[in-house]
Amino acid sequence: MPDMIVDVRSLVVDFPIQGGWLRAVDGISFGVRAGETLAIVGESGSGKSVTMSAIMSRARADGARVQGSVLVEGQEILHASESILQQVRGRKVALIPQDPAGSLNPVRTVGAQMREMLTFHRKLSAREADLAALKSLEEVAIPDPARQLRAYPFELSGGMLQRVLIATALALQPQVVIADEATTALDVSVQAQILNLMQTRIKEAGMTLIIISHDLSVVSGLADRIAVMYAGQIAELSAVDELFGSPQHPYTEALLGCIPRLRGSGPRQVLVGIPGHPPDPRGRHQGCAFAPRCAYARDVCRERRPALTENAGHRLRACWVSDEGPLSGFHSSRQAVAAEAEAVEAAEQQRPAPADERPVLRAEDLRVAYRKPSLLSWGRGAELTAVEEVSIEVGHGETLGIVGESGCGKSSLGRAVLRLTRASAGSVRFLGEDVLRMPGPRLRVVRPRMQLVLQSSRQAFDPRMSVYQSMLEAIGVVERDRSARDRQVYQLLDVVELPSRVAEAFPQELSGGQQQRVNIARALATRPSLIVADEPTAALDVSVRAQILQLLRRIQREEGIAYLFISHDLTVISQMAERVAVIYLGRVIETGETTQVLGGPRHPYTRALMQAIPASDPIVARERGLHPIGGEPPNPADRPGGCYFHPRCPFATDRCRVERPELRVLEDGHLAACHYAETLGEWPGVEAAAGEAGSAAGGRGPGQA
Amino acid sequence: MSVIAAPEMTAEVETDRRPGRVQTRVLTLGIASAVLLILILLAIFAPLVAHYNPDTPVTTALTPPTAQHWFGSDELGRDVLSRVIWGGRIPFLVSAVSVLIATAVGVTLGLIGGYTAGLVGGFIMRCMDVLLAFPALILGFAVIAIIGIGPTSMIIAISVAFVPVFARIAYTSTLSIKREDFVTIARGLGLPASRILIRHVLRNLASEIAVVASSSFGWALLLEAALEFLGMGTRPPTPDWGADLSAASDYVASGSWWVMFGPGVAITLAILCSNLIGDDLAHLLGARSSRVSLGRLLRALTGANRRSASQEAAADA
Repeated sequence: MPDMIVDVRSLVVDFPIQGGWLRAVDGISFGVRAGETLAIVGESGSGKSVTMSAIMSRARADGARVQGSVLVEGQEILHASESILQQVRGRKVALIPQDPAGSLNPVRTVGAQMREMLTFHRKLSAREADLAALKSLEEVAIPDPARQLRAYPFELSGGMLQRVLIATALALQPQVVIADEATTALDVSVQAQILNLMQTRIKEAGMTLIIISHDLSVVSGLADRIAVMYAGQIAELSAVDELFGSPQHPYTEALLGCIPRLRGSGPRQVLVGIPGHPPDPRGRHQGCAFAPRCAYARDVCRERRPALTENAGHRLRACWVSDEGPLSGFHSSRQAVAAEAEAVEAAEQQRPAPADERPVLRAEDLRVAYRKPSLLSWGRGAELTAVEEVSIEVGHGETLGIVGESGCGKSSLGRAVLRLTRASAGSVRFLGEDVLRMPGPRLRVVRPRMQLVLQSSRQAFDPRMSVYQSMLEAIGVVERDRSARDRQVYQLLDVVELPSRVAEAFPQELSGGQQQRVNIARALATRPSLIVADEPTAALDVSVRAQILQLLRRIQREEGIAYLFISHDLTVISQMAERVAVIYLGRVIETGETTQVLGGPRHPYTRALMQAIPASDPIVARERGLHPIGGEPPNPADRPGGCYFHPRCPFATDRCRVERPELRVLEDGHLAACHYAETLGEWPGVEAAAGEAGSAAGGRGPGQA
Repeated sequence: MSVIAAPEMTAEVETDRRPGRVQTRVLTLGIASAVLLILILLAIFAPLVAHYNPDTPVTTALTPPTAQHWFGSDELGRDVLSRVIWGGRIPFLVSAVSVLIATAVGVTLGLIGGYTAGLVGGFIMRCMDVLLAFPALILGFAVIAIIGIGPTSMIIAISVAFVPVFARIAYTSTLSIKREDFVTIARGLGLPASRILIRHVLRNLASEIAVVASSSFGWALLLEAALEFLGMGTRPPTPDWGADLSAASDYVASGSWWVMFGPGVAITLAILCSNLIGDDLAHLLGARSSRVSLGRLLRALTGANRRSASQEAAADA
């Protein structure tokens, strides 16, 4: 394959573990043509990042055993000497890493580090290097580039640092740019900005781009071809439209079904997830690695491993089943079945109106402020307001979604309503009772009835306690009878679809999805009326995330628990919540029924958030393009006057800069805090976003797309 | 596609040395524990082990080592070996009791200080800072000046010297553990603070405390020996390493090296082994991360294979 700029052949990477080798990459081959964009997509542990470090020829430095061959412009780099590698890295292949802050030296200025790279790789003089650095910072639209060159990395935000690294990569003028989860750690709005940069500055400039990501929808608008990896192997490799349109591997098909889509006005999407979890790389599997989780699997799949070959339609995939013709769309038809079952169940379970008329949770004018410690311990520190005049209400068996970017105060809000963080003003009523001014003994009785599920499922467990002990402790809060406690541990594990053997395990021995299930089981132990779920799926893989979301829905339907669902991810919120509140800098800026708010957003920020979500359909993604809002996610310590959003708002007027808009009713139950909520001008691409949100709703399977 | 492994590649295999390092640690831990255990057992069973009465002359003064008297005799003709065997009783007892008291008091103060933070915690920790500002030996002098010499005074002096060490460790760890998610969840369950402190915070502190306690034991031995050497401990003729060393120092100049050799080696071995144990535990338990439990280390050492069993369960699930 002479036209391949990067050519990977039979790459195998093993890492040493105690008593053997762990096979991270299991014989993969692919090529990248000059100027094309290839995305390598897979869940954690699929080997995508190891593949990347092999291409950068760094795997060996990590102590790995590497076999096979990686050619960059025809030059073998796997076994090349360090001096040759220095020529390749930076000059031919540049990397945009996931953690920009960790990739820059904190004690040297940005400019000095860029100059070093440029003088070394491009043999420029210091003066030329500075000019080139300045020029490339301008290219990535960094405000005031000359000043940023003199800044130290910690003075810049994550999004700015990522721009600096992109600028550095561009200034080196490499043939190939590798972006390794380059937007994963960023907020949605910043992610959109960075994706936009990759599109305009790298792809359209004709450079070859390799994107590594866990998220199919992030790459859908950018990639020409996608390689889907599973358990160290490539499951399917095809052009992006074909992959989304007619997936040839059951894993791809299932994965597409797991992606939550932004729901506008339609019904909620059924998220099936993929049963089971990825194989343990320490174990050796015979046959196809996906077979244990595959709905199509037959005997041959369990016995012989399929190779990545072309099928009749010239599509590359490693699957025995698709040899015999196109997939029957089983995973999507299963979704349809599940959707029907859910609808029937929902109809049957028309819960009688709760005897208690009062809402489960009502917070009024809630304010949470932290005191920043001052340098002199006796001085009064400045106040940092995290939540400001927030009023929310959650009804019985209802889900209220709280959505916002990092630092908007959504987690503080969740903790404040549980009185785990002190609220400085306002009131919280749980079933009519004032939580914030409740005496201690009463609080101890009420607290078990409102529970918390956190993002980091592992840290939510005492590492010294087994699952059984943790569960027992929670059950013991409400159950006095010892034998009943023991029984309930297993009942609850059953509710979250875990085998009873899990009780013996320690949390660190479970997978992320299992940990989160135990977390949910523990939250259910005290028979709560309200669960505050703070980013419960943010740390999970796509396929597992879908399982957990579906589990949370089922539990809500069966137990009638109300959720306060906090997330940065608008698509997840749109799929989980009946009502939604959008938060910006600690204030609710728009709230109402999910269908109202996302079907017809009235606040520019809500629109911007919707805009920033990468479309999960590649055709839509390309048509719509990305229209990211500019600016940085705001800093709670530095609030602008007037409307908090005005510095980033494309419609801001003089009035917005001075007068803060109050949250006001627009139509029944739909509130927004914008002076111009009714008369907002149209924003390019908004219709497309709303259109996709509408059409993608429901149980539409990817097979029929 | 199947991969044919290039045979020459396997020569480049870099072995992971970490498990080997762990094994070295386990080995030194074993040896140090064994030596220390022997010294302690000798002291406990001194009446059975020692051939001679340590307090009465059994031969001529300052006899060099012989087959009957391996370590020779001292200035009064007492058997040095027997005095070394007996002489461990006071140091071990004083150090062990002091460290226990210091652990109990220090950890309690640190837990309360760290969990409540604010004014109470600040007050407790400032008091500890004051204590920490005095060298342990000076503190010892002060206590002994007030209540007179004797083992009890030494215990009080050494405990007081070590309380701030434990309080500080417990305080800082509590500060970080109480911010962990599982403590938030426990608070959300409505569990009382005392229960959270004991079941969640203290248990996660345990291995760190064990590490500090074992090396503190060595420092306590050293402090005890120093107090004895300066004549602040027991009264003669009670056998004690530090006191004997002090008495023997007069005769070394005249060439009777063996009088000092016995107690000197005993003190050195005991302190060295205690510190080695503390050091190895710190490495094996990862004191800073406090994520590996004492129980799990014991299980690992005894080869119990609980972990793999539950992992299997997890994999099947």
